[in-house]
Amino acid sequence: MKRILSIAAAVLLAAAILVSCEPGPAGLFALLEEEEPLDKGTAAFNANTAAFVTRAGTYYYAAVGATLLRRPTAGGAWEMVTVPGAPAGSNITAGVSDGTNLFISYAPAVDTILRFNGTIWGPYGTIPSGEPVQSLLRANGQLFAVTQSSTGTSSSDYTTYYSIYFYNGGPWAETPIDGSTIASGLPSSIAWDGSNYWIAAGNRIFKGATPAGLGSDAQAATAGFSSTNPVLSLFYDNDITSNDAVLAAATGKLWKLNTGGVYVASGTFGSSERRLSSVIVVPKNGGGNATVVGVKSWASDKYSGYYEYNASQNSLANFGSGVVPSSAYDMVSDNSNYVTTLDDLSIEGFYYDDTLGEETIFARTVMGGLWSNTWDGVSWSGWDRE
Amino acid sequence: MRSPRTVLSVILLSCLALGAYAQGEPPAAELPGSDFNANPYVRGEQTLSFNLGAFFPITFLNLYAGGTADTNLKIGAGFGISYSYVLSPGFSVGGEIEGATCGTTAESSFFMVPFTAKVSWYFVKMPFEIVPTVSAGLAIVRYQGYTNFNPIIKGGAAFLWRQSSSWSFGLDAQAWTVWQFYGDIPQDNRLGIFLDTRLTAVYHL
Repeated sequence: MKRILSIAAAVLLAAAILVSCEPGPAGLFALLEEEEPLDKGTAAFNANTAAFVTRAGTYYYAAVGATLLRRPTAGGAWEMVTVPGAPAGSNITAGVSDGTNLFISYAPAVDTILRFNGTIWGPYGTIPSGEPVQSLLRANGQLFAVTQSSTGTSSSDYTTYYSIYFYNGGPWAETPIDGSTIASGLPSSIAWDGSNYWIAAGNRIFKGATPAGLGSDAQAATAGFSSTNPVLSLFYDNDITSNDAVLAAATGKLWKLNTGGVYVASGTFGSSERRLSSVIVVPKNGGGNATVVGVKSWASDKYSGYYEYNASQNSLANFGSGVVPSSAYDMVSDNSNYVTTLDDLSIEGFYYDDTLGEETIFARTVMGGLWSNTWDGVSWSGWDRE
Repeated sequence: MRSPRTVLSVILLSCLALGAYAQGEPPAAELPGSDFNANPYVRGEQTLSFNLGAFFPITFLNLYAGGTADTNLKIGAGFGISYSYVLSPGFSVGGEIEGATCGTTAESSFFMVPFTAKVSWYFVKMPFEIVPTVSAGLAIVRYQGYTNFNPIIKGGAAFLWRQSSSWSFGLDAQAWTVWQFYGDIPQDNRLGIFLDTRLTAVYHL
């Protein structure tokens, strides 16, 4: 009997020790009682990754595979959109909007960019690359297209290259970046800071005042970007009163690029291997703005969800190693909503529609559907499935 | 979710198997009188119980601001195994490992595994037994990938039918009170109240 009691005591003691080892977030019951029912979501999005989401006119458009969908910005169900001239056997790779027109690209069909003006679909200019278009980027009213080419036939000599084209009203023209194609990675994100375009392409940053004048910025190498520490997203935050910020999401840290010199790094976000996939600035519950930083799970780090911090820290005077994530997860939702929605989902990217009265953040997740969160002028509704 | 289902299946099959095994023993009415004295729970008697049933979330009591709140938990399943050793006539001590799982309003899952020490009293009117129990220990609380360890106090009673000298079967109902205290954020302090109702099979070792 004594032996049994001893074993029981040992079990309880071990459990008591574990209390201090892995407490988790406090208040699990408090989180539970704040839970809200979630929408079942649109079947086309659920368990899939949307290639993009953007607003054109009074509709939000998004794509999954070869399927283009849209819904009214005021709310309602998503519906499939028939795209005349869509190449058979190709998927939609990207989509951007100038507010009125929607531009989408297809691959593996070559040189295919279609424009929809709300009524009519048609090809948008002529790209002479002979390669598929993998990405569309738009900033300062300028549209860029990224084409992909490959050399080699086996894994040992197979290399992927990218080229950036820009549209200037006539045929698309190639941006002569350093006189060569780009091997550092897909040019995936763009920002315009009022003076310069900034484009992130893997471990390189391209910068230039004109589309034809983009060149590789040497500060990217100084910052230590690499194939395992690529820049996945750029965002221009002009809401701060001074020293506006071009923010870059890399691995383990954010960077402020437009410093006039070397890039400035934030503190560590979670771990040195955490892949920060997307950065965006939006209004914050309680006033001010929040910087929201998406996390994408990858081979070396399975973390997911997003981080957030007060965007007032984005000025050059405040940005630095002291910029670290807030632990409350209450800037664009409440803690309970966060842990039941995006906490366990890998973030591919955010999109923010800042149209007054219809402010909405979208989160594209990796095989976890499309989520949105609506601002009512005072606070956010919380994340729910689209 | 595989683990809870697997455990439930094992316990259910175990109960069925034990019940079938018990069918091979003489019924209580045919046992010699010496096997059924007025109080068979004498010092040295040991029992092993297998439980399976429904788990009802009742409410969360706010220990900081007062008031109660909906748990946002759906009715779930509970299961457990316990051991008792009779210290004096009609009184035993023992231990219990249980599990309870529920779905939540936001389609998440909630799981609790209490490890408790218990005391029981036995009131016998053959072939029926009433067994009030009080137990206390720690509960592993798992929700949305996060884990807490919280104190738990339970109380309730089992109503049993002595099927043979080796087996009793019946119903057991236990109220669970799970205490969450956080010194740094006292506004999150809660008392979770649950009701665990179970079919129980007791094997007399």
